[in-house]
Amino acid sequence: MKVLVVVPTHREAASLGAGVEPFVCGTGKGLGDAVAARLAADRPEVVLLAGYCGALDPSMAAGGVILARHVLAPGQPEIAPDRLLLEEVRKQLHKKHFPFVFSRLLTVERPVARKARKLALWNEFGAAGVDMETYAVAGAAAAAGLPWLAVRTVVDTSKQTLPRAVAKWGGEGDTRAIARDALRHPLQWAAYVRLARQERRARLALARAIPVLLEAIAGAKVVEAIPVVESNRG
Amino acid sequence: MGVPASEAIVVSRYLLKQKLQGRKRYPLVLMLEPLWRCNLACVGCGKIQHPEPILNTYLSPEECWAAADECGAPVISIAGGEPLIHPQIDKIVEGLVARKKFVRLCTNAILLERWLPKLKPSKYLCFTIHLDGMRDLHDDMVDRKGIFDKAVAGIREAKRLGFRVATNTTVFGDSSPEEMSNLFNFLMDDLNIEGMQISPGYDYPAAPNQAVFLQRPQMIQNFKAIFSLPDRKKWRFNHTPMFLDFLQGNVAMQCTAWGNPTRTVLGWQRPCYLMNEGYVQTYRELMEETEWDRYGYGRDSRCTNCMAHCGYEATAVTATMASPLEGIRAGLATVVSRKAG
Repeated sequence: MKVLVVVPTHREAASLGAGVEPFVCGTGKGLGDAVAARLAADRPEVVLLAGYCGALDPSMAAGGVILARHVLAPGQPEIAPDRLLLEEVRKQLHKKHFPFVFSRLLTVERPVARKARKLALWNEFGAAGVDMETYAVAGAAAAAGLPWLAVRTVVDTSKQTLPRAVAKWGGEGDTRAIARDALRHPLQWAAYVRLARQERRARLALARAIPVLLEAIAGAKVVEAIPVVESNRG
Repeated sequence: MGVPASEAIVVSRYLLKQKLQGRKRYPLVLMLEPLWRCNLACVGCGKIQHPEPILNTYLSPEECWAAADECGAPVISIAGGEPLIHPQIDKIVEGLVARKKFVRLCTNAILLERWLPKLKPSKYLCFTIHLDGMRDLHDDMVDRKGIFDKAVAGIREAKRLGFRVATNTTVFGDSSPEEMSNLFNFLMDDLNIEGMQISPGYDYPAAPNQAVFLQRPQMIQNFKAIFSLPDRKKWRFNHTPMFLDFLQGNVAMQCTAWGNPTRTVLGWQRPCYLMNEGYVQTYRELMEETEWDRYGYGRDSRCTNCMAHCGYEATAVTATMASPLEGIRAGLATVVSRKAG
């Protein structure tokens, strides 16, 4: 079965290890079009979005794995993965005792850096994790009529406020600016060290999750994607 | 908090022991439902819609004690159905108290005065009387006139005989902040009860009136309004300060469904007190074979509007134990409420 693994950044792509050749879709406007073009060119049977996220669910620690049961974005209708594929993969992960949380993923335009904002989003949307790409990728896959799944591993927790420069992150091009800002603000070094450790846990978790997911997808009976539209609250 | 210091100490010691033993999941309150038969049909209740043969099935005292021993929770909440319909409820309670379990006997109090002579006051036994509002609202919610007066008479008599008495209030769409304030002032000033439990109504699909339930954002607004009223300082709740913060949307929490395992007449109910995905015959099966990470806010659509204490108080208690500041805050709340009481 041909599975296209989509990741937002090269940093996340590097964590997948050898044997997986992901499509790095980037972040921000144009992301949906880039994914749609790649899907048209590659014609995969299943799309698997993989990457990092921030946690909104207060029970999730760095390195926690979220398998999306719905993805949502403010003001947009909810999109659900193909139910049969999702259920089969979920059951196989459970059978393998692979630790994961089966919840919602929220997509926003800018990083959610402050814990007060994370609390507000948690109360409003009930999504375990928040990122900047899942909704667009899932939307492109659904529009192409392809079954898709999304998996994210947690970097920052819901109780954590991120360093100021990270809050301005808009894509991989901003990484140097963040590094420069970190050097200029020694008082935030501890926060950056913590974040680096958390990213390592997220990276290792993603590296562990992808082979298990690919195996589970290979063993699943895939049906045609039927996007489910529901309310985007709760 | 309205909980007595002795109970708070026992529960804290129990939690500490679980931590030291490295247990990931452990029970805090056993929800014991020795029967589902009830003498009311409350508009927001989805617990009692079972076929007649099941409603006629009661757990024996021995089965109740075995459940307590098997589970090991320090606190047992006897619910149902109406527990005082059970012909051996006195024996069940006696056996649990003998095991030094803190028993909360949840009742609508219709039969309370009949049972009081057969029960002994104890620091381990607390009646938790269901009151959803003052006279008109409560009688509407339980769908029968005169129940509020009956419950109040039962509370007065129980207190006169030296029993511990608390209340449990479910907040629905019709529970205006003013109505709740009147009720809480009455319970504190007039009846001088030990403490109050408060919880938003869970939207049971089987409940007779679905219109009474609130959506989560409305619930949060309602609780913010209730707790911003000037009389708030004199209300004693049997909850951690953190749980009350959660109800007002000030703290993020995930459900701890395994904190309140539920033993019913059909077995151990999976996954929680409010949702039913079948039964298993042993507590061990319940804890080890349930996919716990599949349930909770965001994870299951049935949990979307649930903010009930049977799911979130265990989270709050665990978080309170893990944070020295929250621990001090809860301790102070207990001391202050004791003085006020």
